Amino acid sequence: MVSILAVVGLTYLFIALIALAGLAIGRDPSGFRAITGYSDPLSYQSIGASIVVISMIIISSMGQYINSASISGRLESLLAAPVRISTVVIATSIPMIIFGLITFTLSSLPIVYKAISNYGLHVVLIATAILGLGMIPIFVLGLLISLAIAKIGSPIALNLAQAVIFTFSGSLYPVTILPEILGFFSKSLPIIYIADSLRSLLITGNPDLGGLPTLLLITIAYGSIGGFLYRRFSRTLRSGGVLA
Amino acid sequence: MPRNTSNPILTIVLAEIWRAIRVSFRGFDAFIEVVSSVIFILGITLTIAVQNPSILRDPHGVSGISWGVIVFIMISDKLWILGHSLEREKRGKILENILATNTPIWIHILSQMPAAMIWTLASLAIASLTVFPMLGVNPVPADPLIFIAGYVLSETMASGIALTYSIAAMIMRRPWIATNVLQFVLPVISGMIPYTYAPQYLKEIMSVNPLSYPIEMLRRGATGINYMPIDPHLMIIYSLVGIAVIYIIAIALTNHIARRLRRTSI
Repeated sequence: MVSILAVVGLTYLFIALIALAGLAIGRDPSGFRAITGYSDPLSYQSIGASIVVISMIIISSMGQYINSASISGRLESLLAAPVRISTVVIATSIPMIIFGLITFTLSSLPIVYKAISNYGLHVVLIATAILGLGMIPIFVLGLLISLAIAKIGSPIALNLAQAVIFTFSGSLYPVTILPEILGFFSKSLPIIYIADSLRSLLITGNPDLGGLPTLLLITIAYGSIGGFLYRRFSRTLRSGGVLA
Repeated sequence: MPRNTSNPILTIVLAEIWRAIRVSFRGFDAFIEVVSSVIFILGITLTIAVQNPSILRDPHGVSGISWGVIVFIMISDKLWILGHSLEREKRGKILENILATNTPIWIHILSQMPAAMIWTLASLAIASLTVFPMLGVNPVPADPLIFIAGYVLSETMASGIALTYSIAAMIMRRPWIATNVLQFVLPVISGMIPYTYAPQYLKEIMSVNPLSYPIEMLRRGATGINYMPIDPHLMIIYSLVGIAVIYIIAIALTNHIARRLRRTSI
């Protein structure tokens, strides 16, 4: 509970500081509209910041868990236990998804409240469903990064993952302002599709679900790659131990 | 490699710095941290600048923000490096052993800083070659002397902040909360946003906050623009006084906490 409140509080602090920086440099709604399609940077970046924070928290929690489990030897016991690893992964992902949904709702409360008043509860329910779906590839991404952490034996890879999510997720600004090659990389991350759909739903009330098929494809692709790498990794661990 | 010197404190300092450098530059850690910082510099600058897209076409505007973000990275690097290392030492019971040896804890903490400074310098160098040209910022300092002085003072100040933060890292169960609050709030009230752009109340906070002056010096040296209305000599004096105060307070507090931890354990 303390962790959820701390994450929500930090998200508000982060949004407030971005907004303060925006006020300082003088917001330009028409210029912003020209590149994003939205005229209010605050609500645009609030939704983005909440998604960025949730993604970072999911990935860091998984990375830290796997790191501490491999240091303490718990990971080997887990692999030796007569439980299917997929069961463990699914059981871990459900509380994470619930955590993400609660955190998003609390950290975007003013926007969610406004969306319910203006467009009705159904808009928020659709947004919740998209967020829940979008968290599956984020969870798989977290799993892949956790494997990398266990392999290199250092949680520092989490910093890189967080930097990539912050900068290339398309949550805080449109990826069109990035150089083309970086923009292409951004589009291979699931977060941009979640952020765009949620913004469209919660800010304009327009259920523009154009990005949803791509999000589904990315979920399947991430799931397949994640499953394949995880099976390889767990085989290596079972045959040679954590240090193999 | 440090050798025993006639001065026991110097021997401890050299040994601690050498240990921190060996630990920090082991494996991939340094490389990944540097790359992450460079990516963050791009992301944070764009997050701020996109709210007024015309800034993105104004090299002076982007430059002022980019140098503020560099300071954010300076502080953030140190907080995270120190936070991670103290967390590791707490978990591995290493910190208890260090406390038991009676090594002044502030020397142990500050010994992480030279390694962190190398990381930040490497991030700055890579950002100058990659991110700055992408944003249209000229990475060549307008006044190299002021720039170097500002850089050194800003780094010293960031290390002082990290030393103060170490208290939270030693005693808090969730030190990441303190890390995040400090890494966002401190740079903002100390001049991450250039003084000339800041709203009036922030200008007033920056004027009385001695931590703003090293950052102003760094930014003035980098861009050649005077953001705060202050004489360069006074700027240096205020910076030095601010840094001295933060170190005195931080050393006194860390010593107090170390004494308490020796009695009660971690």
